[in-house]
This record gives sequence, structure tokens and C-alpha cells, in this order.
Amino acid sequence: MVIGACVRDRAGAASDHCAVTEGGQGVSHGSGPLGRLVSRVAGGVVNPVVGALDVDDIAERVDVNVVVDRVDVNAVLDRVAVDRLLDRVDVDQLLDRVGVDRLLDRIDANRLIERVDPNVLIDRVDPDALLARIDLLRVLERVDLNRVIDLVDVNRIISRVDVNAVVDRVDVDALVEQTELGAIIARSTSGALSAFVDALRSQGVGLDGFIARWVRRIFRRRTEGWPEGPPLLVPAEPAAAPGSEPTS
Amino acid sequence: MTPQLVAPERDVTMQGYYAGAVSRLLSFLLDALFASIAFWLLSWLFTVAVNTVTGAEFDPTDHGLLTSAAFVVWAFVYAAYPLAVGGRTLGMAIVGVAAVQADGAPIRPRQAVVRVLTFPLSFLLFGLGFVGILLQREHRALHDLIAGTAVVYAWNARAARLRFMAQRSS
Repeated sequence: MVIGACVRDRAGAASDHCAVTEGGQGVSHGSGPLGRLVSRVAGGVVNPVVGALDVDDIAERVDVNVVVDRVDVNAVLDRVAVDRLLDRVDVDQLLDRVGVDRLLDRIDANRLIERVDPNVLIDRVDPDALLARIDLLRVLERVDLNRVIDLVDVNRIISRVDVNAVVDRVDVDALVEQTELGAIIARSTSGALSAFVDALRSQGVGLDGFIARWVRRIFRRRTEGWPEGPPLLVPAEPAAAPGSEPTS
Repeated sequence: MTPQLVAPERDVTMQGYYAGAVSRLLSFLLDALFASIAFWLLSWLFTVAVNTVTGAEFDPTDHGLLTSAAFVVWAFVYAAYPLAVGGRTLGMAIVGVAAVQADGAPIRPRQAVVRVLTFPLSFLLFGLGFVGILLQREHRALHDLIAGTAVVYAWNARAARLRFMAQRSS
């Protein structure tokens, strides 16, 4: 039984080129006596028969799943002009209908990241805006400081440190008095000779001041503005002179 | 309460200041003492060496002029060499003073030599050359003015202060 033609319009006009048998084999209507006979019969019979068919009734009786199973989807796709199809798609409308969250759930983020060129991404990032949105405290809480310290070249940092300025800020008095450093210094340097020399020098300075004060009084000299020492050793700022009251 | 022999805080601040008369007199006396002792030792060694080698009885006191000249040469060497090398003699080092250029830069060897050679001039006219130590605004004596030098306090007062504190706390 003939169940349809290869190409048929809505009115049921049959093609002049082919027909399909029940077994799915195409029958050629080529030239020759038999072909001409078939064409003549088809022209006279098929059109009235097709016109008499109730297409809706046939459609209801067709098992669509069976038909779909027999369709070679790949072959169909090969014949589809995808670009032309996409040109006709309203992407914005499509995106409005997409459940983004569901889509994200199905994305393999790791594979995606592997395909991203971070340098290109970084070039397009506004670091100021990014930093403004970052909670640095939370970031720091997650930092392994030990690893960071391992990466730091401490010697290079120390070479840039003004050690003298650091030492100047150390309270040496408290250090000596509150630690064993004082005892160590006392054991290593104290002796009758060093104590004698220290006393000799200090007493010499005191007597120098004493003599200078008396000379000023005797000669009634005003020494304000006199240099306390050579300019390279003593800054020009006012300071205690040997003849003035010491600040001890 | 025992009197305090050391004023460490003051001494630290005084480093680089012009040294006064007492410190400089002390350093001179010490240098005179050390130079004399060293000359006596050297002359004794020289005498022993000459007597041993020649077998004669050599006595330096018999050659007063020669001995005096030797002492002058020795005194010059004793004072000029350490002054040129380190800016201070042994007596100055003990007292804690040093000779520098007038602006505070390290003394030059030539200045050290001039200073030692002109030092006797300060003794002339009853030591008038030393009056500058008391009256001159930079406490410079005559030989300092000629050599272009000055004498300043220069010892490790910070270390002395630490010693003082260590002894006080121990």
C-alpha cells in the first residue's frame, strides 16, 4: 500500500518524481514505458485518493515516536544552516527565559577556569574598584602567614632598615636595668682601672666647668653665643657648655 | 650618701665640646710623666746595651747636653706620632680629650707636627700662651691657634654610662 509521497503539498498534490512503498523503498518514475504507465496511473488515481484522505485522522493514527526514532537527527542537523537560524533568534528574549542558577549548577567551573587567560582578564579589571569591594580582613584571616614569611627575603629587608634609628628608639636604661645585661656588662668591663678612668674623665669635665664659671665671674664675661664645640662636632643649636649648669 | 664621681648623662652630651683647662692640664701632666718614664727606661736600656757591647762604663748623666737633646727628640716623637696617627697622645687618651682641626675634622699629620713643635711657645712669658684655654671663646691655646687645631672631649661616654648603670644595678 502506498502511504505517501516524498513531497506533497497541503492540498495533496503528488510529486511527479517519487513515491514511497510500505517497505520504505522509493520507486523511481523514470522514463520508459513502465514509468510512463505508472505516472499516468498515479496522476489519475493518487490525486483523488489523497484528496479523499482525512489527514488529521491519519496523524492521530501515526506513532510519532516510531517516526522520530527513524529520523537521522545528525543528517538533519547537517542540512540546517545554523548561522541563519541564530540570526533569527532573539538572544535577549532567550536569556530572559534561561534559569541562570540552574545553568550555573550544570557548569564545570574548573574546566571553565582552565580555559580562561588570566592575563587578559586582569588587563580588563579595574583594581581600585575591585579592592573597594574586598573585605581585606576576611582575606587576611585566610592567609597562611608562615608561608608568606617563608617567601620573604629577610636579609633584603634588614639591609633597608636604618638600624641606628631603631637603636636610638631603644630605651637602653630600661634594657640594662630590667635584664641581666647590666650584670654582664658589669662583669665584662668593670674593673678598678676603668672605674678610675671614668671617674677621672668625669671629674675633669666637672672641674672644667667649675673653672670656666669662675673665670666668667672674675672677668665678667658674657659667653652667650659662643660655640660649644667645632661646627662639625657640635650642631649650632644651644646646648650646655662646660661652664653652664650640666643637665645630669 | 656617697658623692657621685661620675655624671654619665652630662658626659654623654659633652662629647665634641671644647675641653677645659683642668682636663688639658691633666693630660699634659700624664704625658710628661709617661714621656719621662719611657725616656728613663730607654736611656737605661741604651746604657746597658752600650756597656755590654763596648765594655766601657757609659753614664748618660755625664753627657747632659746630649741627653737633653735626646729627650727633646724623644718628647717630639712621643707626642707627634700618636697625635698625627690618632689625634691624641697617651695622656690625652686617658683623660678623654683629642686634638682636631678647628672645624672638628680629624687632625692632619702636618698640623700635629706643627702643634707639637709650637707647644713650647705657649710656655713663654710665664705661660701666657695657655691663657687662651681659659679666655678664648674656643678654648684654644697659642699652639692650637698656630696649628689650626682645637681640643675636644672625645671618649666613649656611652660605654662609660652603661658601665655606670651596670654597676649601679648589679
